[in-house]
Amino acid sequence: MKFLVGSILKTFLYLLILIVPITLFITFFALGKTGLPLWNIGIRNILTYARDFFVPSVILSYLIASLLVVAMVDKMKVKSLFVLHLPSFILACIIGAGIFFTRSDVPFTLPKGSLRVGPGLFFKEGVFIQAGSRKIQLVQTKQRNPSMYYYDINRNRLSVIQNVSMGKDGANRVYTDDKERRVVIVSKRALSEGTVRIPYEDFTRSRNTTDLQIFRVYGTQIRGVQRAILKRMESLGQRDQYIFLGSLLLTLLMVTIPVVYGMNDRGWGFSGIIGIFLVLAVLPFFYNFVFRMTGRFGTRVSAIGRYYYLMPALVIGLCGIVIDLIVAARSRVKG
Amino acid sequence: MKNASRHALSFLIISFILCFIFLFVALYIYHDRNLSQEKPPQGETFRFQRDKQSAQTGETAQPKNRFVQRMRSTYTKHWIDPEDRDMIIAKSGLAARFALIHTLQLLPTLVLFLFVTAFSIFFTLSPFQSESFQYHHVAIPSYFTLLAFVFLIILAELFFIPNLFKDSETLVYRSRVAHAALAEARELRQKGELQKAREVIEIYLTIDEKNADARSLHDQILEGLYEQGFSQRQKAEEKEGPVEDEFLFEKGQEAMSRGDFYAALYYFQQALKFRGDDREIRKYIDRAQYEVNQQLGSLSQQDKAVKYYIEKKKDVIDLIETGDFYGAYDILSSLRKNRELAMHHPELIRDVELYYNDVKKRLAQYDFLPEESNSYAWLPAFDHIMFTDGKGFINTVERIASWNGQFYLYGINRYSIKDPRVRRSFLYGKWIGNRYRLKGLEGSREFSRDSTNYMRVPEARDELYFIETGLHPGYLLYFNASERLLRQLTVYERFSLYPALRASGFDIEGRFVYLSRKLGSFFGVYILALILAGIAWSKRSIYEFPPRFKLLLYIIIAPVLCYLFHHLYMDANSMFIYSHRYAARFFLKNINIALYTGIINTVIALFATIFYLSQRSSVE
Repeated sequence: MKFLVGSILKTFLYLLILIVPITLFITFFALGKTGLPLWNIGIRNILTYARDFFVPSVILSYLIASLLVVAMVDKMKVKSLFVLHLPSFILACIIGAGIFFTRSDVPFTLPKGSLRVGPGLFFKEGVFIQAGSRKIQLVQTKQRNPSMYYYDINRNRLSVIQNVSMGKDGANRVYTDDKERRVVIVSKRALSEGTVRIPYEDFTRSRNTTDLQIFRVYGTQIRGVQRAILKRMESLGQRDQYIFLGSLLLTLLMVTIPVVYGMNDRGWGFSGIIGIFLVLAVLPFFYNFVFRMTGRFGTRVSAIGRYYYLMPALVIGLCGIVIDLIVAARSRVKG
Repeated sequence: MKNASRHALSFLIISFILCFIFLFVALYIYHDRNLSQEKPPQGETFRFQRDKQSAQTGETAQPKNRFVQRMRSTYTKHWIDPEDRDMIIAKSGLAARFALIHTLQLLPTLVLFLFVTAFSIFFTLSPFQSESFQYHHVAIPSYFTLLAFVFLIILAELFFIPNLFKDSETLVYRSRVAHAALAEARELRQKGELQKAREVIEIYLTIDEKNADARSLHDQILEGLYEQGFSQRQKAEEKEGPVEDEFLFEKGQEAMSRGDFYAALYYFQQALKFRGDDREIRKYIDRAQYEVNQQLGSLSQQDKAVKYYIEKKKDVIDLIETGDFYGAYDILSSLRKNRELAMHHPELIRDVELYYNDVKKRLAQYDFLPEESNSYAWLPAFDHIMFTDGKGFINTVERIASWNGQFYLYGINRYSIKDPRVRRSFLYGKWIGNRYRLKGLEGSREFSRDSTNYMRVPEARDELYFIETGLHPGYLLYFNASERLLRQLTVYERFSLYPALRASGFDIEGRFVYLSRKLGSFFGVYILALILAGIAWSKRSIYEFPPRFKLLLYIIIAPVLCYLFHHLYMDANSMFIYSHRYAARFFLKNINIALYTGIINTVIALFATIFYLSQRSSVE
C-alpha cells in the first residue's frame, strides 16, 4: 500500500513538473505545423492552442511521468510486476475521469480555425517578404496608411498600392481569410487582377525544430495513429467510443511499463531513462503497424462479436502481456 | 594533478578528437555520395547530351523509391540546388566542406553525448576505481574541458561555419560558371565566333584547367583562329607578355625618328608614368612638345582643317591632363570617325587610336559599354532581385551575373518611393566604384547615345543613373535566398552589415535578437552538458562494464536525444526571446533583449552548475 501511494504521489509530482514544458512543446510543435510565421503570433493564439492541445499534453505528460517512476524505481522494492502497473492505472482513471467530466467534445478532435491572425503576422514594415512567386513590401509614407509594393516575379512587374488599409474596408485593403487560410490583397486600380489571394503557406518562415526530418517522420506516424483512431471512432456510439479509448489507454500502460521496467537496470540507472525515450520513439510506429495489420486481417476474427473495434487493443495488450512474462522470467533467472 | 583527473581529461579530449574524425569521415562519405549520385557513366559529352535531352523532354531522372526521393529533396533543399548538383566540378572539395560544416554544426550534440557517456560509463571504469577517488577529481577537469568545448563551438558558429558556407557557395557558383562557359563556347564555335569562343573557354580553363573536353575545345578554337588568319604578331605578343616601360620609351624614340611627334609624345608620357620623374624622358617630352608646337605653327593658313584636327588633339592632351576623360573621349571618337582625315593624313590619325584606347581604359573606371555586359550575358545569373537604395528608389533587377569581381545587372526597373508615378527602366548596369552605373534608359532622348558610348552623367541626373546601396553586390545576389545569405555571414558581418541590409529591405533579424539566439545555443550546450552529466553520474553504471544490449540501445538513442535536447533548448530560448516583448512592456521597461535572455540563461546556468558540482562520490 505504501508503495502504491508513494508511486502515485511521485507520478503526480512528475506530472505537475512536466505538464508546463510538454504543453509548451506540443503547442509550439502544433503552431510550427500550421505553416505560419511565428515571429508575431501573439500570446492569445499561443494560449488558445495550448488550451486546444491540453488533453494530448496531459496524456503525454502522464505517460512520461509514469515511465519515469518505473524507470527509476528500486527493483528490490517491486514485489510483483502486476503491482507496478497499478499506480499508473489508478492515476489514469483519475485523469480520464477528469477529462470525461470536464470536456464535452470527443477527445482527439481539435477545433479548427481557432487561430486568429492578421496581416501584421505576415508583413514587416520596410522589409521585402517573399510569398511564393511574389515579393511584397510595406512602406510607411506621409499618408495615414502605408503603401504596398507588390512585385510579381513571373511577370516581372511591380505594382504600387497606395494608402493600404489593414482590414476589410477601403478601396485598397489587406486582410486575412482564416477559413481559406489566405492573405487577401484588394486594389482594383493598382492590381491588374483586382484581388490577389495568397495562401498562408506561401509566406516564408524561419525553420525551427519541428522542421527536423526526425520530427517529420515521427509526426507522420502520430498523425497516422490519430487518423486510425478517429476513423474507427466514426462508426461507434458514444459508449463504445469510451470503451475503445479506455482500452487503448490501458494498452499503452500494458506495453510501455514492462519495456521500461526491463530497461531499468539495478547496476546502471541511466539505462532506464534511455528506455523511456526508446519506448516513446517506437510507440507510434508500433501502434500504426498494429492498426494497419488489424485493419487488414482483423475482420476475419469473429470471436469478439460486436466488440470488433477492440481488436487493436487486444493485440497490443497481448504483446504487453508477452513482454511482461519475458521480463518477469528474466528477473527470476537473474534472481 | 591526480591520476583520475588526468585520465578524465585524456578521455574527454581523445574521444572528442576520435568522434570528430569519425563523424567527419562518415559525413564526407554521405555528402560525396549525394553529390555524385547523378554522375554520368562517361565524360562531359554524355552529360551535356543528357542535359539537352532532359531539357527537351522537360523530364529529370527520378528515383522510384519515395523515401529516396524525399531524402534527396531534403538534401538538396538544405545543401545544394538540384540543378547545381550535376555541374559541380570539385565535388570532393565541396563534399569535404559540407562534411566539415555538418560536423561543426553537430559539435553541441557531440559534446553532450561525450559528457553523458563519460559520467554514465567511462568515469566508473577501473582507472577511476581507487579508494582515494573523489567526484571532484573528474568533475573539475571536465568542467574546464566543457568551457573549452563551448569556446570552440562559439568560434565554429560565429566564424568557421559562415566562412565554410561562403567557400561552398563560391565553389558552386564557379562550377555553374564553368558549366555555362563550356556550353557557350561550344555554341559560339558552332556560330563561327571563334574569338569570343576563345575568351569564354579560357574562363572555363581558369576554373578547371584539367578538363580534357574543355582543353580539346580550346585547342580546336585556337586552330580555327589560326586558320582564319589569326596573325603571328598577336601570337608573338602573347608570348612576349605586357608592354614594359622600356618598350614604351623605345617606341617613343622610333616615333620621333620618323617624325610622328604626337605618337612620340604619347609614348613618352606613358613611359614617364612607369619610371616616375625621369629626367631623360622629360627631355624627350619637351622636345616632342616643341616639335608638335612647331608643326602647329608651320601649318599654312589654307590647311585650316588639318590645323583644326591638330588643335583638337592638343585639347585632348589638355583634357587628359586635367582628368576630363569624357571630354577627351568625345573628341577622340569624333576624330576616329573622320574618314577624310584618315584618308589624306594617316600620319595624324595614328596617335588618335593610342589616346583613344588609353582614355577608354580610364573611363572603364567610371563607366562601361553595353557590349561588355552583352559579352557576359551567358553567365549564370541570380534572378529577380528586389531592393531599396539610399536615394529612395525601389529597384527590381531581372538578372545579376558575376565573374572575377565584376557584377553585371540586366533589366533594371526603378520606382520612386516619394512619387510612385516616377518609374525608370534601364537595360544594363554594372558595379563600378562602390555604386551601380546604369545604362540604356528606355524611352529617353539620350538612350541611343548612352547605350552605345561612354556618356557623362550630368550631376542633376546622378540620382537616376547611379544606384547607391552601401551594400556590396556579393550580398545582393542572395536577396532571393535569405537563408543562403544569412548562413554565410560571420558575427562581424551580421553586426556591420545589419543597417545596410535592413535599409535595402532584406528581412534580417535585429543584431541583439541574433546575439540572443546564439547565446541560447551556447548556454544550451553548457547547461545541458552539466545537467545531463549530473543525472548520468547519479544514475551511473556500477558494473565494470554496462550490459551489452542496453549499451547498444544507449549508443543508438543517446546521440539522437542529445541532438533533440539541444534543439529543444534553443526552442525554449526562442520562447525567452518572444517573451521579451511582454517583459519589456510590463515589468522590465525597455530592457535590452540580449541582456534579458542573457540573464535568464545565466540563472539557469547557475542552477545547472550547482547541480553538477553537488553530485556525490558515493553510490546511492
